[in-house]
Amino acid sequence: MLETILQAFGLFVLAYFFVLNLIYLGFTLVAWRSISEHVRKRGYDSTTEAFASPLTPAVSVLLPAYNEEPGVVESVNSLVSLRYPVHEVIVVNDGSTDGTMAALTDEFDLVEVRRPIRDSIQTKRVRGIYVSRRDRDLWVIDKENGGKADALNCGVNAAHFSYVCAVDADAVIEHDALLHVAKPIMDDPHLVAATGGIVRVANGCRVEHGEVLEVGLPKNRLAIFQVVEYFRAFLVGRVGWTKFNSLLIISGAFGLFKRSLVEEIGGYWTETAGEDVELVVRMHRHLRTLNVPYRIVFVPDPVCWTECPEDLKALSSQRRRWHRGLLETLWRHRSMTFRPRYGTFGLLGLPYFLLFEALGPLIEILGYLLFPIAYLTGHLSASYLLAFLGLALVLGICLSVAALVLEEFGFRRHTRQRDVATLFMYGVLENLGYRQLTTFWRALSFVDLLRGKSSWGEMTRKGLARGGRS
Amino acid sequence: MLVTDLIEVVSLAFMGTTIVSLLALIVQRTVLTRSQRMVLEAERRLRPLAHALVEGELPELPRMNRRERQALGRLLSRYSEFLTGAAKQYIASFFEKEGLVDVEIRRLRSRRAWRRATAAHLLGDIGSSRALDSLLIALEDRDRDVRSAAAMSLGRLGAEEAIVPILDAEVLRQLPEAVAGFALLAIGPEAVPELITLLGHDNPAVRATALRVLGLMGSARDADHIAERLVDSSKEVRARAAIALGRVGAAHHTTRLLEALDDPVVSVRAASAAALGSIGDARAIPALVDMSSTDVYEAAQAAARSIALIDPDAAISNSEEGGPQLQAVADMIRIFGAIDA
Repeated sequence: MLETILQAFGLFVLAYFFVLNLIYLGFTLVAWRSISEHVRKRGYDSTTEAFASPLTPAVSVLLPAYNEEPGVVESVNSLVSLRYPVHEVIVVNDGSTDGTMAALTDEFDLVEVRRPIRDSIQTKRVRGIYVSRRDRDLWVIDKENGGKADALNCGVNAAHFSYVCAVDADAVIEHDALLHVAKPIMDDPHLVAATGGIVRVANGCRVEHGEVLEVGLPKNRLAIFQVVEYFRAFLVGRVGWTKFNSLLIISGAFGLFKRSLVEEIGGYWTETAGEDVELVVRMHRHLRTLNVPYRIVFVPDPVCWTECPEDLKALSSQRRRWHRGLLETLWRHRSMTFRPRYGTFGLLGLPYFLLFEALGPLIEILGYLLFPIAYLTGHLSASYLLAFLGLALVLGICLSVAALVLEEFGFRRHTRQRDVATLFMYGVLENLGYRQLTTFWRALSFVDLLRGKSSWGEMTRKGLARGGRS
Repeated sequence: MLVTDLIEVVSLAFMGTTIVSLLALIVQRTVLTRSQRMVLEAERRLRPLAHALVEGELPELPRMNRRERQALGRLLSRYSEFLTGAAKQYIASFFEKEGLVDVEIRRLRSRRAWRRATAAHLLGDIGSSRALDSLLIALEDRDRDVRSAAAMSLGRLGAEEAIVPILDAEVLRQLPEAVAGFALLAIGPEAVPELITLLGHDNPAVRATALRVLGLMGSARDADHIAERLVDSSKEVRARAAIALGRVGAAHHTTRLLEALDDPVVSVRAASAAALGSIGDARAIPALVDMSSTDVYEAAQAAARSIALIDPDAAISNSEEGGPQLQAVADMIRIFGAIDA
């Protein structure tokens, strides 16, 4: 009986491993091609014309803020000074208990006004609406706490323009980022429903007055691992899924959406930790149900810099929350999975995320438990075990290195040789413990779900401070 | 045993690939860094030369090696994006003398789309009218980026003969609307007669595009033609007509715009209200006050803003009866003195 179970599991793991890595490698090749095309397009980029053109659509930038006192001023400064023809910034203070509101009032000379906002999406009560005397395109909405999704919905209700760009309060958006992320929409306003840009780790960068002046590596080792991880997730994963029009997520840190579409589908879901994933999946569902041609696009150029956790507790909390969000979304939209009427999204995207991303941690941990048992009970030879582990390690390293090579060939944001060498070293090392740790945390999210956990957890933000390195 | 051997072989293959990639990257980075440094150095040295050339002060170019010529070409391309008139002609002459115009025209026939698109883009920077025919052909290229780059360049070259092909391509969705619009704007008022003709086209998408561009570059002379489209069968055309009229219209169009405030479509009502604000005729205020208190969000907001544009004092005095939108606008006037147009 044990032998049968172990053999069956062994075959399953082999097949699973084979398919998963084939997909990763395939995506890496797709990403390579896509990013090469993207780099070549810079030779005939029309961003300058877009900036000067009265035809570029206006955007409402939404910044939900909860207890973001350390960094909110820098974030708002970076948004207000974005290079874009017409945009407004709406900060939604989601019932902060720290000095977020005071910091904003002091810095931007806020005055209360009566600005009616739509009630098409229900949200918690708005306590007051303020405009900045320094900049009439900067608004602050003070509301009762309802969570990030609720705050974003309030922003969608208040937005003046046809497009809304959701950003995180701890993020710094590059000057041209909004132009770049809006370009697919300018090219195809009737087709492109949403776009998103890349999120990079700001820890270790020199940030001044809401601008990243010098890109550097964090001093914290945990943060360096995350730099590598983000490259893999964004430059390989998201570029790949965009090709199949099956992008599951546009990062909540930086995403551009058609306002009317967000309103039409009822806004962000407030009862999940993964409101950004769930919104995009619901968009796919809505548009495919209506049989409306559309695209949801990831753009690798426009950059949003964000602070990542530097201690195990905060990182664990973040990963568990992200995975919980994914599980909640997949469960909510389970009727779409494997359904041909949802096209590539239903037949490829959702099954992949279910089988390899959502359930992957459980399968991997089961493997870590059963493989030693199989070896100790003589059902698995040492040579096979070592060969398999060796292959898993080499493939992991290869994929991390491939992501770093993509970054180097495509973008070269890390100019110092030493930093690049460090990243490659961490790309190797992350397969020797860090990835296993994140897998364990992701597996714990199943326990969180069963226990009904819904909180975001706490991360001590240092803030992308004025002057000096973050 | 066989499976184990296979796994080992695959592992070695991937390890080899990883090492090769790393080595390639090290080489590429070293070469690129050196090359970039040399290019930047060349550009720094040649900048005074480029400035002199642009000002027409340089009768003959000094001897330069290939890298220097490329650096000078890059500098001039960048300047050309922002220059017009004689300066642009001097740049065009430089590229002609260097034979670069012919090089880029030949590249428009490259098998690779990105090379064709880059060539189409550069020909706009170069500014040589010899490229017009080739760029017009490139408007029908099978690759969208090539068509877009060609359209932008034709716009920068002020090619009137490109007006109809660009509009046709936009209507057939072969060109992004923004690209077609930019190109037509760049061509300038010469495009207006053709656009007015297209206001009577069968296809509402054509009429809508023509209105969009007319609103941006037309003049008061064109307003009557635009006003006729306020009663078009297409809601998009009616809305675009209202927006365009707001930019080029005059007080005698107020009546027609007031009638459009009763349109069943929100976007048309909102655009008409906004247009009335731009025109600035105080006769519209009572209807706008009513609209700002009774209509849906977008239309009410447009009406309130228009009242403030026409007469800020009227916005304040009517704020209580004008509803929340007008109250918001009145607050803005009290704080800033006026609202942004």
